[in-house]
Amino acid sequence: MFHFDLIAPSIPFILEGVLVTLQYTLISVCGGLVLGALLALCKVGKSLTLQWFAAGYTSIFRGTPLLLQLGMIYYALPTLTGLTLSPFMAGILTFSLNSGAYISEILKAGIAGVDKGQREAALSLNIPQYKIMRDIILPQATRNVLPSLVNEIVDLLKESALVSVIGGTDLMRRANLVAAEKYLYFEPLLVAGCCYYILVLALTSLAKVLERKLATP
Amino acid sequence: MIELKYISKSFGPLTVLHDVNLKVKPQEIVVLIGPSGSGKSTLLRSINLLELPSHGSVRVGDAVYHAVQGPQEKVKQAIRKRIGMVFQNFHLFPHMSVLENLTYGPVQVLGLTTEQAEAEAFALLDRVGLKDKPQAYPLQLSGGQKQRVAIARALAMKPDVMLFDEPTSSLDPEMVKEVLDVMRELAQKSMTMVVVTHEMRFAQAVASRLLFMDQGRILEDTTPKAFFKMPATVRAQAFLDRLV
Ligand SMILES: Nc1ncnc2c1ncn2[C@@H]1O[C@H](COP(=O)(O)OP(=O)(O)OP(=O)(O)O)[C@@H](O)[C@H]1O
Ligand SMILES: [Mg+2]
Repeated sequence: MFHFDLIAPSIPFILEGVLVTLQYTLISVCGGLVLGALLALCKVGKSLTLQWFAAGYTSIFRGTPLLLQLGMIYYALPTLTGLTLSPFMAGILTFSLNSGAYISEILKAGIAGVDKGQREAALSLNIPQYKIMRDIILPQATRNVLPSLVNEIVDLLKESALVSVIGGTDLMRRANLVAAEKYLYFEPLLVAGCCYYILVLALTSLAKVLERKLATP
Repeated sequence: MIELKYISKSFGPLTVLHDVNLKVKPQEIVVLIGPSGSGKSTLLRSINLLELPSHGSVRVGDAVYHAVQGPQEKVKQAIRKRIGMVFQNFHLFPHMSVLENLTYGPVQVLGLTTEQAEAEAFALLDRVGLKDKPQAYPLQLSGGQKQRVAIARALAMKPDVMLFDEPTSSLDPEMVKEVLDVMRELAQKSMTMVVVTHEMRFAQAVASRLLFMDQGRILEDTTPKAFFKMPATVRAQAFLDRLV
């Protein structure tokens, strides 16, 4: 009933998708962290214009489907601006922009969660504002929200499967290609599913180790 | 050294300080007492501008902050440069070791090299009786140890004045003495100090001047000896009666 033997030659092809999916995830996470940190700073900063901008940005990216955002950037952006992106670039850009919105909310909560005495102690030592943020507040904020950040990365890893829709050759797309070629669905999808699951487990246990390291310095 | 002129502070409709005037001379040990909510912390925090007064002016050395003139970041820095502060809840940086807590400010603000800053940090740790703890993290210290590190951290910036806001109020009784001893030593080394505290014995023994505050005003400005013998105002008498 199962025909793993038929797809066996294609399994390496699917497995290579793991690297592609990881690339999407890791690059987008980095983009999302940078963008999220900037947006979070806008949200907690004094400038009303920046606050308004960051709130609007977050609201839009959280309020529309990721698939739609991907379509906008891959299909609509070129017709509007003449700028064509590869599926890979479009995917990275979309995921970075999207996760930036979520990560900014996480970091904002983290910053708000840092005891305000920390800031006062730093001010009383005459430490400049940007160094207070960089060296005192953000490290503590990040540590406090580490579990939520890991959740966000896990979501991103899974949602990166959407690039298969625009032709990115990630894990998901490769499984679909094999399925279409061999007229077998269960087997390639199961292989891909196992890969996703293992990646997610690896990521969460890595985070647990990291968290424990940070908890008792 | 410090001169507060006609300081008022309101939080919304609530006026917490009413036209307070206060001059502190070099090497004075001023102890500030009064009932809860009387504005002691607010007054103390106005000195280094953690609380920005709504009216009046704050002078420290030759830097003057005027309440009505907007942000004045340069003035704030000039004032804070000369003042160290110790808080009731320590506020050590939990992600830094004791040594890093003591060297961060000197390196980042005063521009010392790490080696200079560490050498001074070790000397300060020795002074507060914690020379075996440079690598510890705040979480691993007792309350009394944390507060001594906090004092050392403030001293590392070489301030001319130290402010203390109830430095022993969140400590277990057996740890109060070790912190007061450090403060006593500071007083003997001629540090100028303004201390909010409920430790009346410390006030009696160390203060050169005693201020009694109630409802946002300084009601008595006297010596500890005179105050504890017989306070001049009824409110101070009532305050003392409640303590005993
Ligand atoms: N940030 C703030 N916002 C609003 N009200 C405040 C704020 N800080 C202090 N207050 C109020 O100002 C009054 C004086 O506060 P303050 O902390 O100066 O009193 P205190 O004499 O230090 O009291 P305690 O002995 O309890 O520390 C209190 O009624 C307090 O509730
Ligand atoms: Mg107080």
